[in-house]
Amino acid sequence: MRKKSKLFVFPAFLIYTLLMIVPIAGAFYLSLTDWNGISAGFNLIGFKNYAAMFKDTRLHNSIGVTITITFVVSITVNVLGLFIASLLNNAGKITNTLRSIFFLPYVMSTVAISFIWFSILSYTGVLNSILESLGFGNIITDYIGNSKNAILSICVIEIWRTLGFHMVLYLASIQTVPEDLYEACTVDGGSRWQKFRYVTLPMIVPGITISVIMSIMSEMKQYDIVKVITNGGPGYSTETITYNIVTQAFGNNMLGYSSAIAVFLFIIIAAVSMIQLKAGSKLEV
Amino acid sequence: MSKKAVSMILAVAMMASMVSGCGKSSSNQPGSDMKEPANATEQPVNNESSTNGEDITLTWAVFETDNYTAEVWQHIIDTFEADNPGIKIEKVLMTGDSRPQFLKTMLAAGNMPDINIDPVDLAGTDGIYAEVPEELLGNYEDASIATYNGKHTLVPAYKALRTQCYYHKDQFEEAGITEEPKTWDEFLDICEKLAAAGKTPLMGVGASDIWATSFGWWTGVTNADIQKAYPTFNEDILSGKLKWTDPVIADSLNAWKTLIDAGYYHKGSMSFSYTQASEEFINGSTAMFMDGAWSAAGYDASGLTTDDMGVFVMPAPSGAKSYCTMPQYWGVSETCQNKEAAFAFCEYVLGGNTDIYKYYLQADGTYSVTKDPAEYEMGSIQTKFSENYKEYELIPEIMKMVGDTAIPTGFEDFTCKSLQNIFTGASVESELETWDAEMERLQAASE
Repeated sequence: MRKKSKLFVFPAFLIYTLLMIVPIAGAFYLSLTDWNGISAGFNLIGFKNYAAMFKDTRLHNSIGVTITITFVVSITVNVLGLFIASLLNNAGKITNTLRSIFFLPYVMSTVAISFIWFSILSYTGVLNSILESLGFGNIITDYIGNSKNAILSICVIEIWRTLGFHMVLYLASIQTVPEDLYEACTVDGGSRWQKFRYVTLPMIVPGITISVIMSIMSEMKQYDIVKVITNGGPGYSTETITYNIVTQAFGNNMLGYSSAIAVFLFIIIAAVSMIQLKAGSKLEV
Repeated sequence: MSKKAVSMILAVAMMASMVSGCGKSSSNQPGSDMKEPANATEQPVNNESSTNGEDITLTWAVFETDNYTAEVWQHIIDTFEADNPGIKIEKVLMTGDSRPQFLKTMLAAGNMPDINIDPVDLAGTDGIYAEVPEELLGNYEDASIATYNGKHTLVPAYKALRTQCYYHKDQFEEAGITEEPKTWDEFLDICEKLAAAGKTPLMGVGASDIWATSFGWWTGVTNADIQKAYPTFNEDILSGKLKWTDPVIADSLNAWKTLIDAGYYHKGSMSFSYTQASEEFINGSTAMFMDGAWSAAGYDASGLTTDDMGVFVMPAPSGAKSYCTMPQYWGVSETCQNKEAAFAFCEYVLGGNTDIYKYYLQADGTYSVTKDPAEYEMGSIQTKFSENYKEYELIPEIMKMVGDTAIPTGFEDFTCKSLQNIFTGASVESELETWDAEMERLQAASE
């Protein structure tokens, strides 16, 4: 039986190895080289690429941008997602319809979303036009071309895009909480907030863990929206780590160096995920 | 036992289908005469071009703009195929703002198109592009032929004039401006008059079109200022004899900054894509727009004339009276399986069929590089654009020089970003301080 089960696991393991492990190992190997991504040959240079990362101020800036986007978006989508899921859980018959509506942005193409939001946020776009027509012309601003606003705009678009996904995750988690626990809390005189704090939250810790990890992983790899709307600009103000990786690899012909940055990103995401999983497992009921 | 056998067969069948799906075609690595061991990611042969005994199919990497529309490319393809039965051309659309980056990703994926437009960034690496037959090169002006590592791997396509300042004549009239500026002070005066008349003097570009933020100023003014002071600038900067923090460069960019700090640029400039900025300018949002020569052809094609739209050469603060052209090339990929047919296509479009060459040039307002020049009828705005350069000296464009005096790959994109930083408030000096270190880094990477 055990041999049979191993046999059925093998194809999935093979796919995982070929599509995940081998490329990651390949990236690590390339990170130790000076390959430009074009010529046939390259030299092994040890950890020089990793050493160069410490002096790369543009990379440091992109790390800061990525952390900012990750922090803002992850907290917002998880808090808002949980809040909306709690409301939806009591929405009765229209729960499913509302869930679909909220989930819709997540299934749309990120490039299409980017173009839509670009037309909204452009200086002469929809948002400023509406503000002007309502008599608020004095608060019109540049949401994309201003360095401080651009990163916030990216965060808003990402929140809009992913909120539905996290809301669905939380809704599914909330719906697994046994009704008996809520009834017991009611019997004990618990308020709505106390039910949420002492029943719902502890019971959905696994869902919270998954949702937070997924939001962090997703935002740390942010690229599409940045590329289409701001191209990392103005200047470097919205350049993310992934944007930096692509620029180094295909813009600067430094595939070895970009692989080093990619390995670095992989390690960071893995570390954050492991910390999150460990913290989550301690909080589980 | 039979259940076990069925399970075994199913498992083997699944594995076999996955392995066959993931199988690679044989590789035909460019530059395979290098002595280093095969790298970790071999590139499969480009099997887009194939010979089935009758038809040859070639893939052609093109890009689309307001001038180079899908119809333009299709017309060229249709005409060639009609004259060359047996050769089919398939368009590969280069998307994104960086065509070199697109080509590099295609190269990395093993899908390099057979014929590339804008191949300069990759031409410096041996083994990417095939050497051009000497008899084909003999059709082109000697000055247009590029040499990389002693080899000629690019087919000259055209030369493009670069930047001048377009303006709405009605807005100038309303602001009481009667003459085009000939000096930097006169240009500043015009900006002041326009602002005083409640008009926005200049259009800028931002959003994802990073190249366009500084394009007008850098190619139209700073390039002239630098070349006036240092005629061998590229050789000097690459050898370390000159630095990017040179006062000539700083002064030129600080002149640009005076326009920015004075608020002469449209407030929404940095949120406009190039297309958006062009539309806003045509609709009269600003009086002037420093833009490329291709727009002259576009304005002519849209029905505008010199009664509506004026154009003048931007006066440089240094007083330099010069202009630059950008050479453009095509390349045939070394992985192309039908190089003869590919070069035949290049020759056909780039001079072999005079009508098609003129059609290609006219689409974007570019100029012939054939020894026997191909000339076409230009509209009034493009004619004015060309005539404006009559007493100006032709100089190289620093960022577009090819061959051994080419700026390292990636540096131009870096400067575009840095110039955007200047546009959004950074100091010229602090930005220029980063340029030398970055150029050294990229030079080291390209060795």
